Amino acid sequence: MIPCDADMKELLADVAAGRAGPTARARVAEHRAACPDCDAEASLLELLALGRPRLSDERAERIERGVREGRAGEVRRRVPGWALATAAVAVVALGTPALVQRMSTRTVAGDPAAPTVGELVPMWMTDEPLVAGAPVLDALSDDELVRLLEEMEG
Amino acid sequence: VVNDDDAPDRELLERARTGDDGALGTLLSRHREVAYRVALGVLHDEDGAADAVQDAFLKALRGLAGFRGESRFRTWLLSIVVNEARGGLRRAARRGETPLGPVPGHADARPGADEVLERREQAERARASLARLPEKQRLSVQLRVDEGLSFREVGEVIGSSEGAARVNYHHGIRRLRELMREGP
Repeated sequence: MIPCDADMKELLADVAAGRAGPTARARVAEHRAACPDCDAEASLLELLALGRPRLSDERAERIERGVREGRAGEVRRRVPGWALATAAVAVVALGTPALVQRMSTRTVAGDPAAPTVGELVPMWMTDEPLVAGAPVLDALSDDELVRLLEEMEG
Repeated sequence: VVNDDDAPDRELLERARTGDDGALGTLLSRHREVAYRVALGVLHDEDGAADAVQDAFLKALRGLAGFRGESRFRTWLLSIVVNEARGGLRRAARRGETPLGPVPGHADARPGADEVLERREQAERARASLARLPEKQRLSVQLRVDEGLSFREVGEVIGSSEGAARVNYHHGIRRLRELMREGP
C-alpha cells in the first residue's frame, strides 16, 4: 500500500481540484482504495472543489469598469494642482483669443458647408477674453488644459 | 506583435500603470476570479467582495514598488485582497452589520439528474461548513483547494508562516469532516 503520509495528504487536494497529472492521480486512486480515511478526505475535497463559487459576467464587468474608472481618476489626479492652476490662469489670460480664432474656422465633421462650431455654440457674447473663454475652458479636462498650455508655449 | 496572454504579470502590471489598457485588461481577466473567490471567503458578501477586488487591483497598480518580485504576483495581489476584505469586515462591524451567510456555489446540475442534484447539495453543504471555520483555517483550505497555492504562498496571503498555514489547513479539514458528519 502507498503510505499515508504528509505527501499523500497534499496530493489529495491537488487531485480533487484537477491540478494533478496522471501519475499523481493514479497514486491517489490506488491509495484511496486501501485507505478509508484518505478516501473520506478526498471525497470532501472533491465536494469543496465542486461547490467553488464562480464570478458572474456581470460582476466581472463591474470590477473591470471600476478598476478602469478608478485608474483614470488617479492618472488625472497625478497632475499637480499648482500646474493645473497655472495652466488655467495662463490659458484664460493668454489663450482665449487663439481659441476664438481656432473655433471660428473649424467646421463640423469636416464638412466645409456645415456651420462652424462658433456658430452652433453661441457663447461668444463679448470680446472680453476672461468672460468669453470661461465656458470653453470649463468643458476641458485637466489633460486637455495641460496640452493646450504646452501648445501655446511651444 | 506582443501577445499579452503570454506576458508575465510583472510586465503587464508595469504597462498597466503607464496607461496600457490592453495590459490592464489581461491582468484583470487573469486574476479577478481568484481574487473574487478569496474576498468572498472573507466577506460572504458578493457585492462587498467585488468592491474589495476592485480596491485591491487599484492598490496593486499604485503600489508596484512594494512588489518585491520574490513571490508570484498572484500571491501578492491576494494578500492585498485579504487585507481589503478584512477592512470591509471591520467597516461592516462598525456599522453594526452582521456578515451574510455563505454564498451558494455554482456546481453544475442538469435538471432531473437526481444524483447530480444530490451531489450539488452536498457540495453546497461542504461550502457552508467551510464558511463556519475560523478565518485562517477557512482561507488555508480555500487557497489550497480552490486556488492550488502552496503552503508557503498560503502563509504569505494570510499573514502567517508556512508551518502555521499547514497546521491551519489540517485543522480546517479535520473540523470540516466533523461538521459534515454532524449533518445539516
